[in-house]
Amino acid sequence: MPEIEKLYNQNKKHLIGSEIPWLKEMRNNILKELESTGIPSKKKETWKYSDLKHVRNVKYVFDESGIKNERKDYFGDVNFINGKHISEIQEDHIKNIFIEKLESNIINFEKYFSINSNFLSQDFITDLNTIFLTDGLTLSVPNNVKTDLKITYSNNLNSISSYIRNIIKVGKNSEFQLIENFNKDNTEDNSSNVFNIFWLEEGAKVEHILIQNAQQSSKIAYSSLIFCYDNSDFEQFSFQCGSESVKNQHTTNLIGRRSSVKHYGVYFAKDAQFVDNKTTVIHHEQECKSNQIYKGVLSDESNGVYLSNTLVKPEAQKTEGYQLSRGMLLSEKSVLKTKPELKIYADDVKCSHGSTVGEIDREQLYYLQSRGINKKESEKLLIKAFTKDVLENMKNKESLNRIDEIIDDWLTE
Amino acid sequence: MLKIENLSVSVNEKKIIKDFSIDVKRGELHAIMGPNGSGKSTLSNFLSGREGYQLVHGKVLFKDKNLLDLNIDERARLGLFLAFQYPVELPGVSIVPFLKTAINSKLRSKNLKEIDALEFTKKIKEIASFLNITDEMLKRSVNYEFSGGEKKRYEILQMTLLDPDLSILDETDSGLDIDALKIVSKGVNRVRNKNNSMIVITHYQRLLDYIIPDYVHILVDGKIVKSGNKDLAIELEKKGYESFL
Repeated sequence: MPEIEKLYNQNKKHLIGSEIPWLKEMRNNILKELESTGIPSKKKETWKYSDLKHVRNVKYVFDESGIKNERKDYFGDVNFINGKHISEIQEDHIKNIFIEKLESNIINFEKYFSINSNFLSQDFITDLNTIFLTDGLTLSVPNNVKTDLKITYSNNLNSISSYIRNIIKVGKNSEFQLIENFNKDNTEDNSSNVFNIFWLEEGAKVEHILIQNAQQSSKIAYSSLIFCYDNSDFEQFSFQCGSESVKNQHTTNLIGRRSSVKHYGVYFAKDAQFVDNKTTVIHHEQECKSNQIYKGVLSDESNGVYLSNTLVKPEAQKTEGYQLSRGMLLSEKSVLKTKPELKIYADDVKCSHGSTVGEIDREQLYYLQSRGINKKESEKLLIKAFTKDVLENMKNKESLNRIDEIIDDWLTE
Repeated sequence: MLKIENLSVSVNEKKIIKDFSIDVKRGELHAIMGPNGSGKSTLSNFLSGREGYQLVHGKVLFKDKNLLDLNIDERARLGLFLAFQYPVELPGVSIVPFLKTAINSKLRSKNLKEIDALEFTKKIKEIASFLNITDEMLKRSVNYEFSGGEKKRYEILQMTLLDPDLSILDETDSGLDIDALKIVSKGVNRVRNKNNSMIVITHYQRLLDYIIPDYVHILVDGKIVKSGNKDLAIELEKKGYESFL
């Protein structure tokens, strides 16, 4: 813990919002809290199954030298390099979306910072994000529009730590597709901590696609906190392939009637990679629906963790909540830990959960081989088939094709 | 085409096939009939290369090659096809790409060019319509949520496309109503020609009304107890298996 405080004190002047009293106070409170509780360990329930690499060696590196004039083909509409948004402008309209730098008017965003202390209390990852914030944006999608945006995160320097927070508001009855890419680049030892907050107003529909395909030596921590008002739908696809260690957590609050959320996830890991996903849905209101479906394929000595949670508050009658975790282990040394949780305080609800871990089905493999397809090709067909029913729900076909290519590469490597 | 000499096969140390011999020549169709537990499915599974079956002794030559030296997919690429008694469901594996992969695997192993996409589509549609397989069915996953009859028709579709030298049909008639039996038989007869061979495994003579065998063998307790022509099947139907025990 003293290391984090030391790091904070050393870099205070570079941090976004260092002069803003409420943010300073918030940061001091987190540091004080950390001093009394210490950094997370396996003894803490929320970290019991997680990779402690995200806790040890916390870094903050101030280096803006790599940002100038970066251009690469895969760049999105909005790009972060080494934890910094690369555009010089303070505000802009891109595809109907009003975009502002968080830095330029952070003073107006107190409520978005205090929000995580209510919903993700004492969460080490988002607390680090609050302390070391390197950059972030606010995206406002107006009412009644249909639009999309691509954000990419990449590095061109080694050993960089990024702490990015984006606040995304989607107006009434708008349809918004957000694609976030963590790109593979030629750097080493980088870590990213991204925290996105989504607000969906009445009738808004969001498809959020998160593609984490960063280079092997990277570490990624990604958190999303979602609020859905009446009749809004949030659909998330989270895909992991690559990175030494990934720790994702997605928390949705269904605060409006007849709102719905789908947390879909597909992950692949090999070597000694660690993929840790957690989804939480809190049903605050009536007639809401939630789906949490994750499928993972683990090879070599990789580790997977998937925790799903559904909390149904007493007011949330006529809730429908569904959880499913399925894992395919391709080696004896790969490990998947999965735990579904349901807490129901209302009496008129339909909720279920399921969880399975298995290997490639021998009968299926035999059938394919009996048609002349060699063992390796047959295994590939079955691995892809395993994740297909989750991925085929994705509406954005460009992303689906990209994921398909990444999986093909993974299978041939 | 297929020559089996003195073959004994065990499952979990229990001998199921006992000193079995057969010689299936090019252009011939042999029917193997037998009661439950006589070893019919063990024979077909063993020949296809399925795990869990141990060779005790004997020789199996397929196209003059030692079949038992080859693994499952090598046997298939050499021209062996097993129509499954219980086709395996493959949710998520779409039919068309699966068939294309299978055909191209065979073509590649013969150093031939991969099949043209257009030609492939034309071919598959023609065969499907011959077997009363709808376009909707071709869009599904392999065998997934198919009815019993659909699965068997789909096995014949694969057999037609892959055009094997030797087809083993393992109780392809089981679970079929009379209309489906006719369609399946029509499909089998279409594939049958003077250059390929077939082994049809069945309980009942009924199938052999539609697929006329050159030879009929009665398998009891892992051994052929009697061989003859198609009249043997009719005799069997009258007398039952008991008279051969």
